[in-house]
Amino acid sequence: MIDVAWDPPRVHSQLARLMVRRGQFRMFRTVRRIGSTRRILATTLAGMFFVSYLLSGIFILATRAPADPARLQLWLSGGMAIYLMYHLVRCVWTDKVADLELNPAESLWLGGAPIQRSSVTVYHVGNVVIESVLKSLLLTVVLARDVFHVELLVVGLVTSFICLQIARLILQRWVSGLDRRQLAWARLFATTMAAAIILQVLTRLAAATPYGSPIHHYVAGTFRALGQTAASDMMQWISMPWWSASSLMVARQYDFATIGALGAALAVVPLGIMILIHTDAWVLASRLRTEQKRLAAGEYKTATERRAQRGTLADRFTSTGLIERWLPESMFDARAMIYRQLITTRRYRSTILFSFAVPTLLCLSPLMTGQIHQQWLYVVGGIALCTLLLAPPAMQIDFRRDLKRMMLLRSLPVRPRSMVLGQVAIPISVTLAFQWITIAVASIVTRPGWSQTILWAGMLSALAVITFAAENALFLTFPHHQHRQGIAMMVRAKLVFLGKVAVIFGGLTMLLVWIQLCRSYLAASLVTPVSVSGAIVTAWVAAFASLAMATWCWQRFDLERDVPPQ
Amino acid sequence: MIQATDLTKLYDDFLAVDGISFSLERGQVCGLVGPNGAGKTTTMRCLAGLIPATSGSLRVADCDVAGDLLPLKRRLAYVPDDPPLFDDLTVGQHLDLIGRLYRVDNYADKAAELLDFFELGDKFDAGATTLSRGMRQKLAICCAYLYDPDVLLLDEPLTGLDPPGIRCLLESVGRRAQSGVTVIISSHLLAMIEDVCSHLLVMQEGKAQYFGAANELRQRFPMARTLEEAYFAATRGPDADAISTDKQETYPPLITFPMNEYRDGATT
Repeated sequence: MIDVAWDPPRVHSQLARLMVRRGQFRMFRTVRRIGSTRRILATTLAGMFFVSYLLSGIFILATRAPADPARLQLWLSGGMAIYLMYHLVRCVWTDKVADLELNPAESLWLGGAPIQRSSVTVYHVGNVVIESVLKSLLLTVVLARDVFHVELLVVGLVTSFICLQIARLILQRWVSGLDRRQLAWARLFATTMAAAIILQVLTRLAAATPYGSPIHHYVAGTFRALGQTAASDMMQWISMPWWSASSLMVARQYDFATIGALGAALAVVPLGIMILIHTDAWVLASRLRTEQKRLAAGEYKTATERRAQRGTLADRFTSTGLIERWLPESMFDARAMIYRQLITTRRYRSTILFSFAVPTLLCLSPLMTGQIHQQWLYVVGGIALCTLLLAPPAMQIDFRRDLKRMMLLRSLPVRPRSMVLGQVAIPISVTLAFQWITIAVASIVTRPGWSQTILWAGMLSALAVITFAAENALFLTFPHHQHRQGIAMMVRAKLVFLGKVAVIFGGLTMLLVWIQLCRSYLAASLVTPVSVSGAIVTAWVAAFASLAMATWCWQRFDLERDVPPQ
Repeated sequence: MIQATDLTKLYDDFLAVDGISFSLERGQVCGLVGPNGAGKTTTMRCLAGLIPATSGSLRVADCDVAGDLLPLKRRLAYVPDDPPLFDDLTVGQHLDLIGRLYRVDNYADKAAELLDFFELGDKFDAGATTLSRGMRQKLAICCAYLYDPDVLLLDEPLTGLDPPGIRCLLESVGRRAQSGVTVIISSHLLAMIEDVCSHLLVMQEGKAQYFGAANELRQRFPMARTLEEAYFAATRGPDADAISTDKQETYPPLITFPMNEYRDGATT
């Protein structure tokens, strides 16, 4: 048993005071920014989002038929378990060793202060409470129609979200304490579990959707299959920590069972914190043991040995010949930036490959439904969605990772246009590779014709450029630190999602109008070449405009005012 | 006050600190010098209890660093190179936080005095992000001084400070040493810390090349006109041919120093 020491309440009250002080600073900063003319667009959009979210909750969601409470209970707990599995897979495959997600200031001033590690852990969990409350309130708008007591729903959701965060931290901390062999086993276990869940969803989907059904049946069937998987026995056992909270959310009346569920749901939080504290203590001890074993076994190199083995330094510089051949001389200053991105891509190649392999399979899945015409449309639709929604988070190796290095980037003798190109070229190239492979496979299977293949390959390529250029422009206008969480990030994600959906629908509408115009005014033999080339040219004009916008945003980026606190 | 015996630290498969031993008494000021990557910061972090030593024993401020760290943390202050601060706290709030966490009596008066001494009084309400590198360094030092630690570990504290700031800091280090505080000060600016250091620990590639009285280092190199020249002589790189891949047969230190004396706990 690992011995864990505790501080008196006085220490916790000082840490709570620190939390409040930091919260106050952020709140005042947010209020200042809301009033700032530089942020007027973000403020307006966020305001519109909240109003429309609330109105849709009142007027649309409130009028639908309520869900069956028993099923809702299973979905809520099972959904949390599925999300936890996703975190487990992420944790075992990431190389970063997270020390309770403390920032450098917390590590120094709290880690060095005469307070127990358990207090620092409690302090860290305390930081997620406000965020969980706000998330719960947003979800309450959606689920209020399905429950009997909204207040119990809120309490259940808050404890569920806090519990989810604690469970995520426990997993993250536990993984960082594993040695190489244990980590290999953990990876095998987590990946097998995730594969089993995906297989369950696919099997349920195949069983419930007859072969050859329209694609929208498959889409609806996927959500049903996910719900059934969340409600399955296996997921319910994994979701045990959320049982009491989910039963509390759907409670019909205040009776002993409800009070018991309330007590159990609230008790899960301190229990989770205890497990986290013990896991953290185990990790610290485990890592020291691993170090000591390696030292005893002589599994290390001294600085002298490293120097002896490294060879001639000049040989270690890798050539950038490929980039030099592909980029014109006028873009000489973008080469070094692209070279840096290439190094990162090579380093994280397995993660990137995995991130794009799943969307490729998803996009190609309509090919198994047996409907030739719709298959092609759903594949290109899938590629468009993946390009807009999945590629940007999978390839965050552009400005988004450089917030702490903006001063350095600004000081480089690189023209703004080259800087933007250098930052987005590799993410775009990887996305294009994903698009073209998927389009090539779908073209071979469905044979949509050359015009369709060229049209969509050309337009989707432009979409990849627009996506990354717009993502970076948005980041440079409203920057945030990586892995930042909280309500602001959630609203931002929702707004960006809505914006992307609007781009897809807007683009499709323009394309349809354009084809209709070509059909109305051109000879039949000219319709295809003119409509295809016109659509591609328009898409690429938009792509170049997006790049110009990103360049303008980079020029406008203010090192003093735009970098947010950590 | 500080006693390190065979301190070893391994990062993955890299031996960052290779069995160093030294000992310092109350009121002694030790300059920790060596080239970049010599293991100075790792040594300091191990001494501060921020990272565990892989092997060896450490006793700092009468506390075993492998045991309960709380008594040690109350009596020790570690100021890293370019100290990270809370972006969302002001200068005054940083000192307020430290005063409360360390339960310093009457900390407001002491904090005000320190802010005045380091010329940060005007920045009381300034956010940490608005401070210059030197001001951040000064604030971190104020925080460290606020609870009057028995042991001070200062990692590159002079970097970023203006000349009056350097003078203030060295003066304050000297005064604290006189009052019995043991100080380890890591710096590349040997000429600057020469006057304040009673001892020197010269590190290279994780090993201690020299530990002893500062003036003894110069005596070992009679040709050296300054302490800096003696340091260069002590850390001069070996010829490529002399590099051995055998762990047991790394090139011998240019200064042979009886480290066993310190393993046994003897002091200078």
